[in-house]
Amino acid sequence: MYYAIASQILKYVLIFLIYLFLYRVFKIVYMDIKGARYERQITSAKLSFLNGERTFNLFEVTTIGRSEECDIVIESPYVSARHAIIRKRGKRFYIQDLNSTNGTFVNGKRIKGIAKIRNNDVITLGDVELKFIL
Amino acid sequence: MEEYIKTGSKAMKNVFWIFVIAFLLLFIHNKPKGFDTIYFTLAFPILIYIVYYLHVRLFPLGEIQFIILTSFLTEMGLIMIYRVTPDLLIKQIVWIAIGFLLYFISSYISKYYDLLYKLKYGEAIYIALTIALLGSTLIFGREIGGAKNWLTFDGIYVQPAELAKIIYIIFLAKYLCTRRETKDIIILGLITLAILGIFVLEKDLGMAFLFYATTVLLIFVSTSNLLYTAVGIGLFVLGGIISYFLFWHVRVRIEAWLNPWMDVPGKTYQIVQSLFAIAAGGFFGTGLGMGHPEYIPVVASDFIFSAICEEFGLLGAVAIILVYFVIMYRGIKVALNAKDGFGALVATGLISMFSLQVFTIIGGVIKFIPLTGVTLPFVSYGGSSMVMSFVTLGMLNGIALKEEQQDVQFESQY
Repeated sequence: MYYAIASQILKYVLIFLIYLFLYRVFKIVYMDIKGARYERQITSAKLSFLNGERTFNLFEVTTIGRSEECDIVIESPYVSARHAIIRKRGKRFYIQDLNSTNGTFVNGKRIKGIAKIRNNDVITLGDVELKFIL
Repeated sequence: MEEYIKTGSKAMKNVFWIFVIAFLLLFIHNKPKGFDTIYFTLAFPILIYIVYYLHVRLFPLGEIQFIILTSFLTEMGLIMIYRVTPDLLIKQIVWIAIGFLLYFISSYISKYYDLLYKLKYGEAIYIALTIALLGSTLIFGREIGGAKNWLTFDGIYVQPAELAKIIYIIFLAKYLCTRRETKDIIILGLITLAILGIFVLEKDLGMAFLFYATTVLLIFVSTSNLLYTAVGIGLFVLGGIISYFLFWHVRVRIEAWLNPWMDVPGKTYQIVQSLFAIAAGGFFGTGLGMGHPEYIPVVASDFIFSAICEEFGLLGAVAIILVYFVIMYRGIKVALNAKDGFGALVATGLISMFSLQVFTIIGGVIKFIPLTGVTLPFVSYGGSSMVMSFVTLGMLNGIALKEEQQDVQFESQY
């Protein structure tokens, strides 16, 4: 008898808890989608060819390479399919070489792993020279 | 990232409180006979917390949602199993523990999934394994519940088809990665027909549907050719009509689906009881221990969803379906982010097989499609199904981890 009453009341509590759980699960999904969009946000920084041919806008995370999948596609036989990646951390930008064949150079110095880049730095990928403008 | 884990922990706390309330009620209702039951029950929340903590520690960039969602699903399954058949509870908890262990092992192993791709004569090995596993039940198998798809070893029952599912998906992914000509697709179609033949001999319609539908889906995903897909669906309809006239057990299922009231005490007993249970539940359910889900046959495995409908109501049942949707979403996301074509195809195959299985059994018990006997992953009672569902998600987690390895390197150097 008491059990029946308890079960009747607690079933609403259980349903409430189940939906609270679902709310949290969907909140994680939402944060996840927002995070993915965040990577695609355009920043004020730009990357342009030294000869002034073209200028690219940089995202929060930008990949550079010969492959079509990259954000910045450079058609040159000396550039690897996925050559380098530029990320924004706070207000600074960092470039990372993705084990490319011909390497990535910042102001003529070959970088190992990750390097910070500043305004007007010249980035060399294979035979292509790009200027970083903040 | 911080907020991510915080929300996850809150969700785990909800899982814990659902557990406490439901099992307090059930302990009063069932009056457990020995202390064993209580000890094992108490071990479950400890187990999921350890697993959650380990996952956060070992795979900081892994699919933590898989752990949160599977703990919820397995817990709902445990509650319902303890409600309808208390004797199976301990076994189920042991299977869950083994499942979580295999989840971690398969996560670690499938990080190196490209080895599976590079294996020489891989396709031949995988398909031979699949056929050997499926054929083994034809020769040594035992018939339970109308389908001959079980093997017994000293009283332990295993379903080899559950393992064959995963190997078959690896085969499909490897095959479709390189061969997409019409000729190759026809050969693949013939192989699939041979596998369907085995299932027809075993009278295992649910698995036959799962294998066929996954093959058609993967062909569509890898070739994006609508013609193949249309032919696949056309052949499926044709095969369904032919087997309706050829096989007695197919005819029974379809007739029970079209008109469940024709033979209530006999052929359509299962589905009618299931529909009564769902109707009795209403929106909020009858409350734990207040319904009569024990009237449904095989309620602990195939019909567990109807039991949940009865005691947790429509709202509880919808919550379960939504959780499956989130798992599906995560799985497809893993496939989209996979690093190469092979990984993407394996992930797509695994998650489509998983989702199709959920659709087949939930659709079956609510009489949306003809009923076939497959289990509801993570919720139903059953060792093979539980363990292999965990391996499926573990492999997806491994594929997701592989693509994120570069990021980890970046973090550590920075």
